[in-house]
Amino acid sequence: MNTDDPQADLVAAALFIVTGLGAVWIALDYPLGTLRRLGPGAMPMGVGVLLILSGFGLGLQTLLRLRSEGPLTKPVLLGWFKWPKRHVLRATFSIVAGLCAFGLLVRPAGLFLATAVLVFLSSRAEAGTPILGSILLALVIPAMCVGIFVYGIGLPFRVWP
Amino acid sequence: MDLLANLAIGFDVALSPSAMLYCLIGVTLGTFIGVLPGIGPLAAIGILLPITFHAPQTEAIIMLAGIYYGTMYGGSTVAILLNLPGTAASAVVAIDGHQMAKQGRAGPALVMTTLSSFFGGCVAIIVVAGFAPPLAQFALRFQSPEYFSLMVMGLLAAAVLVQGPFLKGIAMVLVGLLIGTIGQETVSGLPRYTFDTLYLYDGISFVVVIIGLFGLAEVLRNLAMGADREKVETRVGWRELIPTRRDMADSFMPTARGTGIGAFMGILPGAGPAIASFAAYALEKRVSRNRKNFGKGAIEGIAAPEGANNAAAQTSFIPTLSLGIPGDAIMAIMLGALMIHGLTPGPQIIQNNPEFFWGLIASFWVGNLFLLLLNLPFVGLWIKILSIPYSILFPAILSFIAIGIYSLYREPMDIFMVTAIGLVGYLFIKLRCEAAPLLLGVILSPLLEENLRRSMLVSRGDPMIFLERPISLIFLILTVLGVGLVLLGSWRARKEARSHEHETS
Repeated sequence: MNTDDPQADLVAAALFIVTGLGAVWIALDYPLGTLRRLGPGAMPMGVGVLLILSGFGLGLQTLLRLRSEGPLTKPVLLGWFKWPKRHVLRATFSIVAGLCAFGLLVRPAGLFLATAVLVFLSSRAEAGTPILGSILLALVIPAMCVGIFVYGIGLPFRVWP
Repeated sequence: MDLLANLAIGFDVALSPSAMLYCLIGVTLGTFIGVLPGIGPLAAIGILLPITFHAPQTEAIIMLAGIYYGTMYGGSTVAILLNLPGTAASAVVAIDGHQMAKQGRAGPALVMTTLSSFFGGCVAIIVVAGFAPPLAQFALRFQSPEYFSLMVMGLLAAAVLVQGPFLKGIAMVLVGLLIGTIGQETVSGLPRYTFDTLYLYDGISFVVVIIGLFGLAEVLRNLAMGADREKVETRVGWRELIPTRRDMADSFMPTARGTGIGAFMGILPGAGPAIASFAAYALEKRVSRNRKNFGKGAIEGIAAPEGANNAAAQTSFIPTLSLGIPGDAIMAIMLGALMIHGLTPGPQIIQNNPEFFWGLIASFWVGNLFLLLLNLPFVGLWIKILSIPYSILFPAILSFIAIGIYSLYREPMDIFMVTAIGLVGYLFIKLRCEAAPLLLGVILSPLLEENLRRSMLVSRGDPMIFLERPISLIFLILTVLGVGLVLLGSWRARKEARSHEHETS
């Protein structure tokens, strides 16, 4: 895999700076203490400042490199941002939906139903999977999981609502 | 003979039926997941981690270790047969291994990887048994300044070895350290970065971070590849399994050299199996009599990196167990798992829990033996796993992840958290940020803070304490030297590449 991607580096640098700024902003509320007695704010503050610095360093380094290769036009700077492809959105959405459904259902509805909904929703991630296949998977996989976790390992889960 | 007596204690533990059972389950599951392309040891451990938490203390770690080297074996198998390396380490084996497979010599190649790994593992066990106790003895003298400097060294080593810009690795470590501060502070009890939610008071469990960043993000990446995902040709035929006598003779010295390199590299912070196998391959390419055949199916090109790979995997337990400082992300997971089981890694662990320590070491040997028995006769079966379509596999993996996490604390919030961290992990992949240094930061963050605070208390607020204490100073000098060397190397490489460009243009 090609790991050299200055456009991604620029976005990463911006993200690090924003994260660092956020961390420092919040850490302003925590007592710093003294050098002798470091307070709870010392570490977050120090790490946050270092993070901002490394973000700036990374960004500067990348910008200098890009400039040595040509003019800094908009596509050079923002080339990383692309609208994600449809299948990526679909995959991400179905997996997130499946996991969230599991989180919401596992307590009230029990292990089997929660897993079944997770499997059904997440298996819709790929456009080629037929509905019947998803239903079949949503029956077989939860049964296997219940077998392994509840009867195999012996975890005291509630299987049914 | 202290060593023999200790090993006897160890084998007593490792050969008990329950330990052997967990070891067998571990290596089998590990090989199973390791065979799946695109899922490396980190993702595999991430997926399987919660299962181990329901086993008894020692057995759980034995199982986790089994999963670890099981995935490495499985990874090599697919790398050779299908040229689909799942990890950086198996990418090296794939160079010559796949060439051999193409020449119809997949059998000898596979047998040789297994034998070399077994050899490397066996030697490494002796190294671990011989070096860990004295190192622990030495480390008993360490106080907080030494630990602080040692951790700085480990974190910087992890950052430096990341592919791409050095500052990116540093930033990832720092993000990890920040994540590690989430939750109630230990001394004052002040909640930090909790956003007034009760859920974050205990901090984010490192298990959730691992499974999100490595397990879930990996699933997302594989799905996003969609049609680009490599189609796997599953039919593999080979005529004979047994390597010729010449193969064996040709492989012996490379295996021994590779094992030596691996055993050494494994102890260094940040290095680990992947770099060990690269180094072993590079060395072999220079010293081997058969060097012109490298890349064209030389058996030496398999034997050396496999020996190195496995030896390093085992010796990397030395700093983790005896100092309590993990060298790489996988060892960081091991450390976290130890802590969840109420074991405090560090110099005292060998004295206080001899059954655990020696049992784990002896179990390496048992696990390697299991792998030998599992891999040779059932190679064909492992390959069959590849024919399971991903559309069936990933809902199953997701169910495992979800149930596994929920089984830990019965906290539905953990599921939402893992989903969010998985999305962040996917973003990291898109931004080409390696997540391993981040994980090391998360795990070391509380230790780093505590040792820093204590050092400053001891020195009455004088930061020079880290330079005044000799052992601490040595760690810091080594850190500066190591980082300097790596940066110089990459700077030179870039300069060379640039002057090359000028020549051609």
